[in-house]
Amino acid sequence: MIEEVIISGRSNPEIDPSLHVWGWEIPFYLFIGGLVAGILFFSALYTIRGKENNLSTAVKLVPLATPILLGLGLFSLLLDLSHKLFFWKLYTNIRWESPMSWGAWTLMLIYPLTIVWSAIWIKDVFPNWNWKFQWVDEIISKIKIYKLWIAWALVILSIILGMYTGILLSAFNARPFWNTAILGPLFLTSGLSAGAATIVLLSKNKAETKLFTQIDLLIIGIELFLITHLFMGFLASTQVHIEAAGMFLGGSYTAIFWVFVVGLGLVLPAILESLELAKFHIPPYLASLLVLVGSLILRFVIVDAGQASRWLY
Amino acid sequence: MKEEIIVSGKMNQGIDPVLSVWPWEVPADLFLAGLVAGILIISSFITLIGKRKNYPIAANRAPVFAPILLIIALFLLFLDLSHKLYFWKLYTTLRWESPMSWGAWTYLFLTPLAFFWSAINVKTAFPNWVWPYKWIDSFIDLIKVYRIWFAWAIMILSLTLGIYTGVLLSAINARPIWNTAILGPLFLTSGLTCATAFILLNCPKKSNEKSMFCKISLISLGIQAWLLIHLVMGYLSSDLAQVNAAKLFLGGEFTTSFWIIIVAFGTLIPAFLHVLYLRKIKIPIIIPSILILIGGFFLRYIIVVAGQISHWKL
Repeated sequence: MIEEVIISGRSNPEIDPSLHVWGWEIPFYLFIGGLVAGILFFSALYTIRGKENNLSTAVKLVPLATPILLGLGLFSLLLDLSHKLFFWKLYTNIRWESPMSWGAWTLMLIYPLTIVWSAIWIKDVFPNWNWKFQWVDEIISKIKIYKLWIAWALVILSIILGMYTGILLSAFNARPFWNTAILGPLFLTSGLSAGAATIVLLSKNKAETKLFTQIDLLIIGIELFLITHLFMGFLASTQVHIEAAGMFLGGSYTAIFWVFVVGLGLVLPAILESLELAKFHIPPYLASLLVLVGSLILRFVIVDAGQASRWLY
Repeated sequence: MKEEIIVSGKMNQGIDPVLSVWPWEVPADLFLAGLVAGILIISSFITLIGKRKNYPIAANRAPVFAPILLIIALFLLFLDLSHKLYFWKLYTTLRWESPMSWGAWTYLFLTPLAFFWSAINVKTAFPNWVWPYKWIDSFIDLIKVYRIWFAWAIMILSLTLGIYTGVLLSAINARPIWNTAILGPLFLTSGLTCATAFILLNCPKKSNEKSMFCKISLISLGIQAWLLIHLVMGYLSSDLAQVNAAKLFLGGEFTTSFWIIIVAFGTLIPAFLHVLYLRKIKIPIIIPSILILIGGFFLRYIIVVAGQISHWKL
């Protein structure tokens, strides 16, 4: 018997590239980004349409949460960075062909606006609210004059924010499961649905609950339609895309995706919402919670599956 | 010098494959089918939510024309066939993985339903209409009872038809321009936009449906513009074949027609005119409507022609 001794350094760290590098931080942030986009979109849209008193939960109350939510989201993004102290380097240039660059700039613009937007509404929601300093009041009353302009800016920026959460992934062509043009529309609609669900969850006004239940039902329909197109698209594309889709059609992500995202996150809430609108007594928060959890799991599943999908086969 | 004589039959017909085989018939069919799908979706939806009285043009009048348009679309498809006498072979099988197969079956079910739907609605839309035979009247009275059932069936089948017009192309992965999942939603949206334009053209002068469908049309145009952005972004972030294919629209031979005809005249200018109309500036609604319909046809035409030119050879 001839023996050979092979000495290999391959199992040392960082010899083989690590391809599965995104843990919970990115999908959590993508969920928050979509949710905040949805909330701000509805709030700004109904401000422009002059419905701020009829739809006060959507316009005034829910957006108060956006600075905190977006703060949490950005913090989780920061946690994901390997070189945390150099995050500001993103702001030394604009590369329009990189979604990460325009996403960073969108966040830079939208984050202060969420604070301004909350400051405009906080006294309507909490009448006893007291800014400790007189000058804060003065600044806010000056800004309030430009409320409609801010609303327009928010409508546009929130659509970009919601879209970018999807494009961030679909721009990677090394990951077949992410590399589909449908991901941007899908994540935006999912974010809008999460926003509508949050409004339904917190609203005490019957007419408002009904309106946003109807809106949510419509958006869920569009989401199911986009998911159908997602899979038709993969199956009609190259072999790597077909195999990526296979992870969801019999592969390791089949159960979690079809049960939790599609079943419990879309179809069941759609049924509950239809029953609600048909005047059955079903607590509206049930469907809302299912939508929110489904929307969170959607991001986790897609981020994880994308990193598992590959071009080698 | 040594000479060699090569005798080649390559120039003979049918040796090299012909790759650009769809001229105007297929895009015209896709346009008409999308338009009919949009008209029927809107009409059946209004019926289902019980707003027929509020939107008589969209619910009753527009769908009267649907079967005629659908027959023209089918005739165009027929013209495109090489073996016209064997079209019925499509109906000897159902292959759900082939859009052409489920498209054919959708046509088969939707066409008679569109005729019934048109017959049910024609007297509401045109009060002077008289059927030549008495039995037609009594037959229509008989089926009128099931209007809601018809509406459900038409809603589902016309949605399928609208989606199929895009998926028919996107399922062909040998053509990088077509092979994108966004084409189905884009063509469905464009079909809905065209339907709103068709409804607006049918509205009489003082109709309160005008501003409603102007708004719906505006939203639909917005979604269409947004999907066009995703279409181009999708190409550019995909593999090299698709990046090269996108260059047909970004500096290549279809740049002008894509950006001027589809994006500007078919989407942005009508949207701008709608905004002006909604702001009470007097714009004849016929202008944006015609632009939308022309843009809708050219969207299909340019994508069908450019798709046949785009290829995997690098």
